[in-house]
Amino acid sequence: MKDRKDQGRASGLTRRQVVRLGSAATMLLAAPSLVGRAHAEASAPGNVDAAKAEGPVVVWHGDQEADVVEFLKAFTEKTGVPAVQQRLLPGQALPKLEAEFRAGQTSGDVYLTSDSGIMEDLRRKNRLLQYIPTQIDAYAPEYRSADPGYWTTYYVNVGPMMYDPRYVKEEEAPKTWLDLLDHKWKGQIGFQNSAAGTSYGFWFVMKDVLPKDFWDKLGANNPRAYSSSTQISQDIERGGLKIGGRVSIFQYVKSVRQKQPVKAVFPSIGVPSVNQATGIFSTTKRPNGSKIFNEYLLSKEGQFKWNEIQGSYSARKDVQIEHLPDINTLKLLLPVNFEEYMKADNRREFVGIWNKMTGL
Amino acid sequence: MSSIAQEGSVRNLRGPNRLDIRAEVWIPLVLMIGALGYPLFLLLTSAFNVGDPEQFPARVYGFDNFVKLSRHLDWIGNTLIVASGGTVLGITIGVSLAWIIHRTTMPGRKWFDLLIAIPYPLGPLVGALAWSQLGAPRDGLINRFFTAVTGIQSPLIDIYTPLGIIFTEAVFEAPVAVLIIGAAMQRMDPALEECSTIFGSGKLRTAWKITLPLMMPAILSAALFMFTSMIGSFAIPTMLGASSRFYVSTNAMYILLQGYPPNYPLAAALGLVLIAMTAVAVWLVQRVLRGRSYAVISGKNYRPRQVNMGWMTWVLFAGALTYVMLSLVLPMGTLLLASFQSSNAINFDFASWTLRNYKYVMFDFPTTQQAIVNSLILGIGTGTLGVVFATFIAIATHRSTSSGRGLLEQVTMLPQAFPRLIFAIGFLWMILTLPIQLYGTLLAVLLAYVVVFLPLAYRGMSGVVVQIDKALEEAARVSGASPMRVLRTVILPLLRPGLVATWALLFMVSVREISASLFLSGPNTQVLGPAIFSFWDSGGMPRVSALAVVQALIILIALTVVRFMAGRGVRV
Repeated sequence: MKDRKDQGRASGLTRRQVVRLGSAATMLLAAPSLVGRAHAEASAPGNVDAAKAEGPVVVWHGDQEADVVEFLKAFTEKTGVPAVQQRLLPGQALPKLEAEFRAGQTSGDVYLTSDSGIMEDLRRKNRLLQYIPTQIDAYAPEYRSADPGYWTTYYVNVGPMMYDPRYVKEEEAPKTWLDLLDHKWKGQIGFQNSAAGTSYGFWFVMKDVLPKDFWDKLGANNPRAYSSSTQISQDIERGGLKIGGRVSIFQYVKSVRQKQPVKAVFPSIGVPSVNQATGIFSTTKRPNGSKIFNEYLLSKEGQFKWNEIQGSYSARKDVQIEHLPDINTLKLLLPVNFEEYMKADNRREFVGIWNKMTGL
Repeated sequence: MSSIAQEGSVRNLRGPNRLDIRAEVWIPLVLMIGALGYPLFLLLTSAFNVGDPEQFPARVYGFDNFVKLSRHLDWIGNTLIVASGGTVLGITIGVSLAWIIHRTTMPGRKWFDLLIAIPYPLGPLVGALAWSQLGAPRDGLINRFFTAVTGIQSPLIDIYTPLGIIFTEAVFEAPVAVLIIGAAMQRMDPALEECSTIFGSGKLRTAWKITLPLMMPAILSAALFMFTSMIGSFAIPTMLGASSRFYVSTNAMYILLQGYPPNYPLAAALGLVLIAMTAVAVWLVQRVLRGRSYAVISGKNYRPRQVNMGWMTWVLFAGALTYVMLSLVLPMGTLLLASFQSSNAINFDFASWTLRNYKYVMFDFPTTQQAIVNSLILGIGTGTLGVVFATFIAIATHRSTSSGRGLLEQVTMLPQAFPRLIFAIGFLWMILTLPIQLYGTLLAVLLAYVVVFLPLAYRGMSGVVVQIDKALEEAARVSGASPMRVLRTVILPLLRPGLVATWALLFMVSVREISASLFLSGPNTQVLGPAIFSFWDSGGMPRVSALAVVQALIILIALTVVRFMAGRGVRV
């Protein structure tokens, strides 16, 4: 034993060192191939049989549950891949996500959110899988992550004002955002509360467009905070609220479909809009199913299906939905500076302003 | 004599202060301390966390969150207003109804006894949903009826106000007060009332001056129960408070936790304040009750005399009927009406009514099917586990001679001081930090339910255990029965009515639960309360009404089945 050790030392290397060096060399040689293979696996399209074997794709979202369920049904009918959903707003989704990432696996696979800032943050933390859908070119750069495939806009949530002419005369209705400051609307304007990604998006894109004191003055009109756009829309329909200060466009379309005489107002200065983004968690347990889901959701067929169900704008130019005003006639204000959009300071400032404005 | 002397000498050897904690006490004690202590620890550390708000447990501590909270004293003030106002109104309703049902000769008392109990298991979520359609200022059914009859355009009532919230809370919590106070009224010694009558007091004066003070321990117990429930109440203020910008602690906390980034530290600080407020209320009532309970409750069983109120009987009948209308008939009727609609506004054009909403929630929408199944599983699981655990603890605290029984009882009752929403947040943080994968399982929700409802189960089982005379067990043992045989042939049959009643109560409160499950239910663990809430949030009134009616039916069927199975002698 001792002799062998000495022999090794004599040659300048022990056996352990040789093994270590060999392993390191193998790793170094294999690394590009491993990384490449991982990347190739991430970029490879999902396999349907493998997806079925993986089990139902779990979709986390903040949309209307009934709409998502209907879409998932269509998805399963089309692809044969099962899918389930859970409605989770960011405050519920993110702590769960954080803990699950610590544990190395997520129970959710696909994440649909109204806050593309969250998506961008997840991307930077390597928590999103890069999967480039085959039809990615149908999406303009402002509707997808800069490095494509991490997140893509599955619908554009345009936020006009809304009212019901049964309760508000058309000539009296607000035409511009500044009209909301009129005291005749005191206690009669509704927004979503500060937990909504769309509220943050609204504030973020309007803060440099509107006067600095707009929010304080709006606060003096005692706007109400609702937990969802659906709630605002319902209250408008029932006559309990006169003006929806920012209502998701699909609520307007849903009301029109139900033959409610509602009106949407798209001020010429610009209409706040947010990217509703889809991405796949990097720790997904169902990568094949998730890829097939995103592939379908972002395809022309999937986009028509989803936006038809919901009544919203597709980010694709080749998908048109009935009852929606022509998007080309609107001046959309989208968050594009993600460095600023993600900043914690901006979010804190928003929460402070919004909560104060809505009396929280 | 010699054996007594020997026993005394053994005691002396052990010493008077020797701790003798036996398994029947320390096992549940450790389980309860673990289930409550760790979530509380996480809440505490988060409340004082001034570093990374998403770090559990925190690393940098300070008082900043409490300083921030001092700028939002309105949340705490509003919580106190709702809890105090709701408790006063609820107790007023509870005392009146308990007295009418148990102490007068009003006709139909048995029916009222049954009908008055129903709104409680239906729960605040159903109440808020129904009253938002009954009492909305513009299109609420009551206001529409009022305008149609009188021609007056201004609304008669507005449920979206602090008073509306207090009213709804009180109406749907009052059955508990009727139950607690009614039970005490049935055991009351009528001698003092008879004296009062002999000395010339009228019936109402006797009720006011004699009956009411005698009932004070029961009234305070009921008041405490209602107050703690209302401090943690979530559904009613959230659903009715938005329109009037009225925030209590729970709906403010919900918004703090829902946003991005979630403000855990401020929410936790607020949660701690609520726990402290509830704990103070519990302590105050216990303090008051300690001095009074022995003065009113005696071991004898009485059958108090029932008072014929003459012409006033019909006034009382009208009062009881009004309560049943406000708490049961109108809310359920409104939900039924709303569930047949195809739009958010209720119309009476029968031709446009549809059953599609029921088809949707029962057959087309997988979430609700899953939620119904899971809620039933949880109801059965919570009922069974809760009853077993509560019975074990009740027997341990009342039958064991072990040290630490008092502590076990206090720890068992401790969840009462935790508003359920806050406990759920702490519990969620706890299971997310555990090495075992508990999050996202039905087991996690079940464990949380068992813990939060344990005080309710313990209260029920404790009351039954103390009523069983020890002599019966001793007689069985003397006759040679083994402990298991004593349990099977003596204790369990005697406990049966209490077991069934407590099981049914736990089943019903589990099925109607929302606050504890809101943060704990996952993709495969949807339950009815959060499903209804989510539907309310984003699904439209007709469908959510249909789902609420389905939930109510499940609860009512369970109630009927249990009453049927239990037969006579069980009060559910």
